[in-house]
Amino acid sequence: MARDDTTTPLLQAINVHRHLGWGETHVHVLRGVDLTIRHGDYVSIVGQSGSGKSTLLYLLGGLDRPSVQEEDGQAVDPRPRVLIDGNDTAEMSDLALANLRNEKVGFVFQFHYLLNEFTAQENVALPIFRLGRLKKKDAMDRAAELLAELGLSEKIRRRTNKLSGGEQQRVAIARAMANRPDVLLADEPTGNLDRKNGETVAAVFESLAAGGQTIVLVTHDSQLAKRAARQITMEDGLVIADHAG
Amino acid sequence: MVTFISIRYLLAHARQSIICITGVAISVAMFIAMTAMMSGFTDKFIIETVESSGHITIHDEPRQSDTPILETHFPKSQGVLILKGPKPRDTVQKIKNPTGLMAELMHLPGVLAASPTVSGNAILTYGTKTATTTVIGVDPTRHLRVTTIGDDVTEGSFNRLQTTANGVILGWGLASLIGARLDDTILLSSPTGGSSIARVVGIFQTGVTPVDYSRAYMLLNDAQTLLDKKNVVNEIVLRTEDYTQARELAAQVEAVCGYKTESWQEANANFLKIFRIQQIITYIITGALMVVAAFGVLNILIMAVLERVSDIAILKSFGLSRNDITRIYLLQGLVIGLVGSVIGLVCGKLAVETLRRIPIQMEGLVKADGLLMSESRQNYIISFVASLVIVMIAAVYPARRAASFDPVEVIRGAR
Repeated sequence: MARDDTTTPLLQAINVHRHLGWGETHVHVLRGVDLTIRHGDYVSIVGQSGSGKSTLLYLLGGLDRPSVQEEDGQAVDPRPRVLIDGNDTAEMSDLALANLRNEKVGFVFQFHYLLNEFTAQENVALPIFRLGRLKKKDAMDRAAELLAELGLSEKIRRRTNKLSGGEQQRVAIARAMANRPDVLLADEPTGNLDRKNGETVAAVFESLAAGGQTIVLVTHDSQLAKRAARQITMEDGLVIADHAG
Repeated sequence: MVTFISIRYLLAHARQSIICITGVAISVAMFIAMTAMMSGFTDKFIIETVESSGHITIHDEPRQSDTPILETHFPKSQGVLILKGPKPRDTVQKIKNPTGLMAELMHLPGVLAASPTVSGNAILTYGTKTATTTVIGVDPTRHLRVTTIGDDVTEGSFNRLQTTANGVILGWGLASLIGARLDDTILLSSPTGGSSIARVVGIFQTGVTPVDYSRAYMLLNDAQTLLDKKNVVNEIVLRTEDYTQARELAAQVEAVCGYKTESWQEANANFLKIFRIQQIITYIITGALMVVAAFGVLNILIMAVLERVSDIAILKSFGLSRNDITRIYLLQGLVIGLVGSVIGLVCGKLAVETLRRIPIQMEGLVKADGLLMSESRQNYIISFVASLVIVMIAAVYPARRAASFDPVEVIRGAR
C-alpha cells in the first residue's frame, strides 16, 4: 500500500553533476539532472551504457555525492544537491550518511555481493544488527521472515556460496529490505541472471511495489523497465524522458 | 556487529590466523625466556655480590686531600711559591675512630648494621701451590649482620673464626686452586713481610667467580697482624634497609664520615654496564622477533582486505561507516595479538620452567648448576603489552586501507 506522503519528496536530485576521473580520463557523467521520487513510486531508469543511470542511482542512495565543481574548478551553479527524505547528502558527515543509508536505503546490485563467510540469514541480519534496534535473536527472526517471504525458508542456514544465482539475488533483496527501507535502489538486478531467475526477481520487485515499497531500478532490460509505473530515460548524463508506464 | 564480522572473518581464514597467532606467541615466549635467562644471570651476580660484600663500603681514603703546606701558609699569595726538600710523612691509611663512626652511622635512617674490616693482599701457600688473595679481617658477629657470607659457607662454619686460632675461610675457587681442604693448614704471607700459619676453618661459595677466587676471611686481629696494620680498620661495611637505595644513602654517609664511600652499584659499575648492554641486546633481539611477527600479521591482514574489497563495499552500502570497517580489521589484529600474547605467556612460562630444570654446569662470572632463570611480573607485562601494541600498529594500515575503499569505485570496477 502506497504511503500518502506528498509533502516531502523521498528522493530529490537538483542540478546534479558528477565528474569522474581527471585529465584525459575525465568523464562528465551527469550534466545537471533534476529528478524527484515520491514515496511509493516504482521507477525504472533506462538508457545506454555510460548514460549515467547507475551513477545517478548511487547518488540518490547516498553512496556517492555530486560534484560541486566543474572540471576547471568553477563552482556549479546552482549548487548540486541530492536530498534523501529532506536530508542534503552534501552537508552530511560520512557517519551520518552511513546511518541514513542503513535506515532509509536498500541497495541491490547486479552482483549479489553476499558475504560468503555468513549464512543467508546472517547476511540479511547484518544491516539489522547495524541499525541496532532489534536484539540479535529478533534480528535473526526478522531475517528468516524476509527470506521466507522470498521463498527461501529452507535455505536460511546455508552459506550463500551454496545457493543458485537467483537465490543469491533474492537473499540480496532480502538484505536490502532488512531495515524496511524507505527506498529500494536496484542496479541491474537481473543483469546477471538467466531468464527464469530474472523473472522471479522481477516478480519480487512487483510484489514489493504493490505493497507500497518505493523502488528505483536501473536496467537494460526493457521488459523489466516497462513493468515499473514510471520510466525515466537517460542519455549522455541527462534525463531525456520521464513518463508513466 | 563489528565483533561478529571480525571473528567470522578470522575463523574463515583459520590457517592464516593460526600462523599469525603462532608468530606472536613465539615472539612473546622468546622474550620471556630470554629476559628470564638474562635477568637470572644478572640477579644472581648482583644478589650474591651485594649480599656477600655489603651494600655500602666506607674506604680509608679521605674525601679531600689536605691543603698543601704553601697554600696553608700563604693563602692569598700572587707570587710563585717553591718549597725545597720536603720530607713526605709516612702516614698509615686508616679510618679514625671506627667505633665512634659506626655508632654515629647507625643513627642514619636506612642503616641497619656496620662492620669494621681490614683488607690487604696476601699470598696463600699450600704445599707447592700458591695463589694470591685478598685477606679480609672481620669481626664475625658484626660481619654476619652486614653480609650473608655465613650462609655461603659450604664446609665448616664462619663462626669457627672465633674459636680457632689463626683460622681462615677460603673461597672455594681459591681452595681448589691450591688444593686445600677443610682443616688443612696453609701459609699466608703479606707483601709487608708478615706471615701466618692458618687453619682452613671454612670454605664458602657465593657463586660469583671473582669473589670465590679472590677472598679469604680471617679474624680482624689476625688479619691486622698478618698485614702489619695493627689496630687499623681500613673499611667499614654497611647493610641498608633497601639495597636498591644504596647509592643515595652512600652519598649521605660520605657527607657524615668524610671518607670515600662506595655503594655496591659504584663498586660494580663495570659489571652493571655490561649487564645493561646485555639487557639492551636481549630487548633488541626479542623486539625484532615481535616486529617480524607483526609483519606477518600486517601481510595476512592486507591479503584479507584485498580479498574482501567487494565485501567492504557492500558493508558500506548498507550503512557501515569508515570507523566500523576500521574496527573490523583492528579487532582482528587485537584478537590475533591477544590470543598470541596469552599463548606466548603460557609458553614462555613453560620454557622458563623447562630451561630451569636443564642441568648445565655453568662456570664463568657466575657459577651455577643450571641455567639461572629469574622471572618478573614486569617482564610478563612488558612482553604482553609490547606484542599487543606492535600487532595493533601492524593492523592499523590494513584497517585504514580497508576503510578507505570507495564502494562506488569497487562496484563500478566489478561491472
